[in-house]
Amino acid sequence: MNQNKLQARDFITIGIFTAILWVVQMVIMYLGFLSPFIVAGYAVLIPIVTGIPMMLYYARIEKFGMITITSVIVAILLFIFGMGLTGAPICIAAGLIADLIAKSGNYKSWKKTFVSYGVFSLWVVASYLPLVLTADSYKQSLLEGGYDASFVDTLFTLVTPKTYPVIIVICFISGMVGAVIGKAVVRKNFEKAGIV
Amino acid sequence: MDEGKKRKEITGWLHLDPRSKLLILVLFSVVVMIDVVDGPAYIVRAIMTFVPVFLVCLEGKLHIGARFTVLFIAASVLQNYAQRHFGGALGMLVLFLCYMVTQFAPTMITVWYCISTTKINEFMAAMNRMHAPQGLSISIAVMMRFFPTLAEEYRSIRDAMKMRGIQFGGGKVTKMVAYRLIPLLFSSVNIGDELSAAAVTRGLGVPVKRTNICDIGFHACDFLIVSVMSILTIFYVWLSLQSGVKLL
Repeated sequence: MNQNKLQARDFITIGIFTAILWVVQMVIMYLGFLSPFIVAGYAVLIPIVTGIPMMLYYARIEKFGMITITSVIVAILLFIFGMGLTGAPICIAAGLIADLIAKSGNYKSWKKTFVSYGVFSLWVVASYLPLVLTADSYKQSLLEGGYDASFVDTLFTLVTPKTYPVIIVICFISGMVGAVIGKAVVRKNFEKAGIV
Repeated sequence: MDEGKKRKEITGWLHLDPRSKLLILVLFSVVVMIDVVDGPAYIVRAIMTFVPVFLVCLEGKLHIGARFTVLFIAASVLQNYAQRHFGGALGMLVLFLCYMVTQFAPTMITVWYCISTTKINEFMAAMNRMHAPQGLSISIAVMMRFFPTLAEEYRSIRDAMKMRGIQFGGGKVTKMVAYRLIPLLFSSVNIGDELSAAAVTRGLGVPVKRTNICDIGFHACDFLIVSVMSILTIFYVWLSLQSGVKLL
């Protein structure tokens, strides 16, 4: 059997870690509706917190395609939860590039993993995209929905087409920070226990 | 496992094809994507919300349907009231809670309906028929099955942490995250290994085409519900376009 082809065991790993990734980000997302700063802070919070499960995931990846499939499933889930399809190409592209970067280091190089997770984190930015592109109608619907005008204004000063590139950069950096924290946690808790 | 047994016993009065469920889910995501808060479009949206509730009831889970209905109506009424009478921080909090319920609960109940009433082998059969890549369907199937397990594990961990006196609302945020996430990861990894062993034993991963004994197919009620949902979705999109919502 071809050793480089994904096998049942890998698909199960993908399923499990994608489920964890999604649950963790959902929890953060629900916290976010409390404050516009947290909404804008998704790009920081989600990559950092999901860094822990993702680093454990990276430690189990040996073959090409696993990160790509994860990003495809994330794109599908984003669609189901009402983020639309605009972010999907970015999400999948981020996953594919992250996969390629990690592959170039043979899934063992720590430096490559670090950058790769930064790129993968860009899916968070992709989920913002509809918010930026349809800012006016979205703002209107939030106001009509009874949200406080100051909440809406703060949200839209932080997330606008102008600040969008900045958010992308922040997201990428937080991804790498998340990778460092995640790696430290994995080393502290999992390597000692011999799970990795 | 008890959960597994319960899952097998689901034989409602109406059992839809997994593919119709997927289609309903997709149509629903289109509806959730467009934010409408009042006018005729909102009424269409409310009607659409109750289609999955109705389906849940038909699958023999009356209590869940009833609970959702009460929650949804209470949230709508409260939201309406809060918009007019409340202000300040309290108003925001109430509005936020109501908004969450009215906006996300419909998706939640649809997802819950799809996951809890579809057996995994039925899902695999449906994905096979749609010629979806096997890798994707296995991954999604595992994920679907894993959400309830994750919830169960989380409950046990929370109870254990309660005994140690570690709860939400006290202590450092990092500790709160770490003490929950890491045990959860530990048990997930172990469950994953067990699952892999079980799957390989059953021949998942052999390089031949898998067969499936599940008898799935479209029946009259599938056509009825799918067409009702499609018409409602088109009507909804049309109405919101009329009222000037930009589509993307």
